[in-house]
Amino acid sequence: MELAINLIVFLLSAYWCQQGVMVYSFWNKNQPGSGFIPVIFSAILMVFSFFLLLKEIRRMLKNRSQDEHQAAKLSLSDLRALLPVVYTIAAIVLFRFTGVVVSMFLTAFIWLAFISKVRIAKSLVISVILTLTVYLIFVVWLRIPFPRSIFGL
Amino acid sequence: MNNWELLMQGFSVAFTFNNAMAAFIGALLGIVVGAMPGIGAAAGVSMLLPMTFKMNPTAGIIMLAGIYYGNMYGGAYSATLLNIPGDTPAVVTALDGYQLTLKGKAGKSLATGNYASFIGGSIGIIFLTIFGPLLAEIGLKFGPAEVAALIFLALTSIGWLLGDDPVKGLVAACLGILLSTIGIDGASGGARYNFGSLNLIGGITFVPLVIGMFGFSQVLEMISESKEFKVEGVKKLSIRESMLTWGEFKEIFWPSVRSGVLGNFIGFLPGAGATTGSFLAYILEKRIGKKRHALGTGEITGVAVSESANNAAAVGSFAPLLSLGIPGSSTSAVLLGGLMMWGLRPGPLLFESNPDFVWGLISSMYFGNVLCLVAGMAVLPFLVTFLKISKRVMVPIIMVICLVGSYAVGNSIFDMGVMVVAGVVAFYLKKQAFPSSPVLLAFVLAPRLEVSMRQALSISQGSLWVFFEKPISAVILVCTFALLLFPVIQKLIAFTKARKNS
Repeated sequence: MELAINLIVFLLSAYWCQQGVMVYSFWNKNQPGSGFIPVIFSAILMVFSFFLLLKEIRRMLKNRSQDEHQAAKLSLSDLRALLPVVYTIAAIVLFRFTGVVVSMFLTAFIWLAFISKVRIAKSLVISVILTLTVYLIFVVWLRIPFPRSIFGL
Repeated sequence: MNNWELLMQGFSVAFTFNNAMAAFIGALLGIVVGAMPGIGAAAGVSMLLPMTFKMNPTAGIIMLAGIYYGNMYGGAYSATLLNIPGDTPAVVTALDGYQLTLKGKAGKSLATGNYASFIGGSIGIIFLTIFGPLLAEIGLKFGPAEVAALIFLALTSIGWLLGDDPVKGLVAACLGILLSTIGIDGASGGARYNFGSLNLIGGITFVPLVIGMFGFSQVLEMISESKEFKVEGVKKLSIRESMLTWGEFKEIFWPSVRSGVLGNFIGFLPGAGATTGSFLAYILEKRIGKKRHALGTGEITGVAVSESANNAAAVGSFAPLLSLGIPGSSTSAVLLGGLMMWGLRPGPLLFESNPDFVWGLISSMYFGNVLCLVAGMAVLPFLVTFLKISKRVMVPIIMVICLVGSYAVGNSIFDMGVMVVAGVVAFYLKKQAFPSSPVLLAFVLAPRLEVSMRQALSISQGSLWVFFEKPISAVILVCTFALLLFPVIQKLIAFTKARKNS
């Protein structure tokens, strides 16, 4: 994972640097251009991420067998962390079409009842209280123009 | 008007019904959020930030400040009862606090935490009242070169350079700077790095970014760690049994004062923050304290020094924030973002242009600190029940708050996406020991750094000498380079020692 992160950071900083020099101009008529700060800090980032990349590669070569064993362990917890990401994306889609009240109620209720395995009645009570609090604070008090469902909520 | 008169005027602002309620709700929410294991001040403040949008700036910031220092009180509760700090500054509190719980003295530990937090907080507020305006006066002498140098110092500050891997801290800070360059360039007015997206022309919106980095990433962390929190060895707490005796109070008083002063000084330093404050106070007590040999085995003094220092540092970080516009911690970076959203520009001129706001905020802290002490003692009997709230229940609640809060800023679905992406990135970075605070601090400070640097270089016709010819910026830059080189020198010394020994 660390190898991937350092590689991504290195490539990202290289892109930032290239754009800063070629597109936004680093220096212009004795004055710094739009690319001045991006180029300086992306260059620093390139150096550091390259250093971390090399360090990680060296470490991996040293502890090859250990890493293989750990990789299997890590992937499980990594995948588990992705569950709320997928769930949240689904909640955003739902939010777009059904409005804040329905979507937030369902987001809380489905998670509580089917993923956290909290008793249905308790899940229902918590979800209703949460949705009501959100509704009162954000819709009634703050008047945020949320998307609304066909029921007008 | 002198400070005293301005403070009194501030009290008249702080004691209006709206502002007093804001302080009360903020302090209470802060204690509750702080007691939740692992959530932390930055996450708490960022998730509750959208709730303050429609308030007037003074009430809004009073509430957010209340959440911040209330959080410092609450952080000690889960550290003591669960051995899981509510926030990183409470890590040190857990060392003695949890040992006291195992000895059956959880109530004493929690009450010590409350008293010490009050002492530290009071020291911090008094120092802020005295030194805040002085710092602002110094700040008025700063030109673009000095401002750029100061921000550079904040970005390379000790908070993360003293961490496990300083290089990772610097990588995180650089990432924050690059993120801040997305959108309109403040100097030329042209769009940069927006990848052709209209949503990115205005840059990445601060609130969804911060909610994702500190709130949503917490959800991912809770899910990836399947372990549930458990309160062990404590069934019930009562206020009466928890109260300290006069002898115990005398025992913690001076160490708390000492740590409060040290913590406050650390909080004043740009970029340092409460965690560094409580660590250094504990180290100091281990060196000079009367009970130094017993620290770590369940001593109330250990809890007192940590709690006093982290509260003093939290309040102390308001001084560079209000006077110079430089946040002292990730939470004050969130507060800075909030201030800018309300159209206020923290910095030396804030004391002159918005005295009602600044002094109203400072005065509310006196009131809020007393409220926190009272509320902190009042919640003791309910803490054990409260900390039994399962992670399984907390996850969907935080998720819903993150979603609604990130939408509420700009009424944009895109911002919800930003929140999710920021959360995922922060989670994986944190897993690989990249700190997230520098990303946030750099993101907030970089636009000012860029404008100041480019102004200074334009004035000097491109000569870098402009940063060294003025004494203030020269001294700041020398300090910055010394700080940058410090970890390298430290490693070199360790390497030479190890070589000699082998």
